Amino acid sequence: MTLEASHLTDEQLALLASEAPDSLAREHLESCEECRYRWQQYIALQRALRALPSPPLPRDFTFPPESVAVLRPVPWWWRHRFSIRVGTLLAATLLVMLLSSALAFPGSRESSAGKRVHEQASPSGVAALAPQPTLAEAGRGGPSAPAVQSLEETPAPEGLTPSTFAFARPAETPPVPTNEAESETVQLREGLERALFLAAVTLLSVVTVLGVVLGFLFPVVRHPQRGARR
Amino acid sequence: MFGTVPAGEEQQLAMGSSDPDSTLVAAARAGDHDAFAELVRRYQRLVYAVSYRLLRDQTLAEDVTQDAFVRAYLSLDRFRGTSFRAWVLRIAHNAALDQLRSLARHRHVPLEDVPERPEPSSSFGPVEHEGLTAALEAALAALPPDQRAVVLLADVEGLPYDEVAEVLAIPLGTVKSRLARARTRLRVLLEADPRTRELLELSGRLASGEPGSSDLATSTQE
Repeated sequence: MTLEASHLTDEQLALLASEAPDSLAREHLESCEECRYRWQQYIALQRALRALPSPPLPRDFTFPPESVAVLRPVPWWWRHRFSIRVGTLLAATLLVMLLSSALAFPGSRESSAGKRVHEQASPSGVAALAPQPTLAEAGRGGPSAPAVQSLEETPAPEGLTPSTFAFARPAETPPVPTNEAESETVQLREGLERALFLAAVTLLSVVTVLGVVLGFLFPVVRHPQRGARR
Repeated sequence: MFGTVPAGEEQQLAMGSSDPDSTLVAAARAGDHDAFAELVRRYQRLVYAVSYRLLRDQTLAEDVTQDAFVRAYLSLDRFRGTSFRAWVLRIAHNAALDQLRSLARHRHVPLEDVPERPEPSSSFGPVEHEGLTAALEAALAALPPDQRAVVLLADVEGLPYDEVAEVLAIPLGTVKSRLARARTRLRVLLEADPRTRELLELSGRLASGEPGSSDLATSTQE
C-alpha cells in the first residue's frame, strides 16, 4: 500500500477496518486525527455489520430423498433410447444387406473390372472400333491417339520407313494410354472400392454394437428410475 | 429450475482434509441422506440470510435456498471443491442473481439500477425507522448487487476473503476492491443521516472501548 503525502484514501481506510495496517499506515494513523477518525468509523461500520441479526428462518429446508428422485437428471442415452433403437435396427439392416451382397456376388466387381481391363488392353481392338480420322485431324491432337496407333499397327506402305511416320507425328499429340496405365487405374479403383466397402462394414458394425448396448442393454441393466445413484 | 449445476460451479480441486464437512459430504455421496440433511441444517440459515439480503423478498429467498440445496444434492457426485459451504453459497448466489436479472427484465430496469430503489421489506423498515439495524439493512439494499454480495459474505457473515472469492468466482484483489468501495458507499449513506451517524459512532465506541491507538493493534481479518 502506498502512503500519500496527505491523507489515506477512503478505500484504503475502508480496507484497514478488517486488516492490520502496515508500518507506514500505522504511523500516519497515529499522527493524523482526521484519518484516524474516519478509520474508526469504518471499524464501527464493519463491526455493526458483523453484529446484524440474521433474518428468521421461515422453515426447515431439509427434504426427503424421494421428493427429489424425479428431479434427478436422466442419462442422455435414456432420453434418446427410442431413436438409438431405430438407428441400430437401420444400421443392422444395412450391414446385413451389405454382407449379403458381398457373399452372394463375390466376383461381380472383379469380373467387371477385369472386363474393362481386357477391353482396354487391346489397342487393335480399340482401333477397330474407333473411327479413322485423317492425318490432319491427328496433327491437331484430337481423337488421334487410336488413329495414330492404328497407323502404327498397320503395315507401312512400300517405300516408307517408320522414321517417316515418326517425323510426321505431330509434337503436340497426347500420349497414347498404355495397357499398364489403364490396369493401374483399374487396380486403384478396385482398391478404393474395397476400402470403401470395408469402411462401410466397419462403421455399420460399430454403430450396431453401440446401439445395442445403449439402446437395449443399458435401459435394462441401468434403469434410471430404479434408485441407482449416478 | 432443478437441472444440473452449471459447469462453472464445479470445483476441480480436491477437498482438503481440514474441511469440517468432509466426513458428512463423503457419507452423503455414499447415499447417506441423513448426512446431507445435517449439512442442510448447518448451512440453511447462512444460505437463507444471504439469499434474503440479496433479493429482499422472503418468497424468492425461500425458493433460492431450497433450489440451492436440491441442486447440491443432485450434483454431489461432481463436487470436488475445498469447501462445501462455499460451494452451496455459490449455487445460491448464482440463483439469486438469476432472479434479480429476471426481476430487472420484467420491470424494464437495468440490473445495475435495481438496488438504487430499495424494495420495501416486511421485516425491515426504511431509514426513517429507529435503529441502526434498520439503517444498515436499508443501506445494504442500496448497494449494487456485486458490492452487496461481497459485504454480506465478508462483513455480515464473516467469511474469509479467499472463501468469498471462491463463492463469487472472482480474484482476491477484486474482492478487496469491491469491499472497499462498498464500505465507502455504506459510510456515506449512513453519514447522511445524523441519527445513524451517532448510532454508528456509539456502536463503535461500545465495541472497541476507548477509540485511538488500541484499534491499531486489534484490527485483523479472520
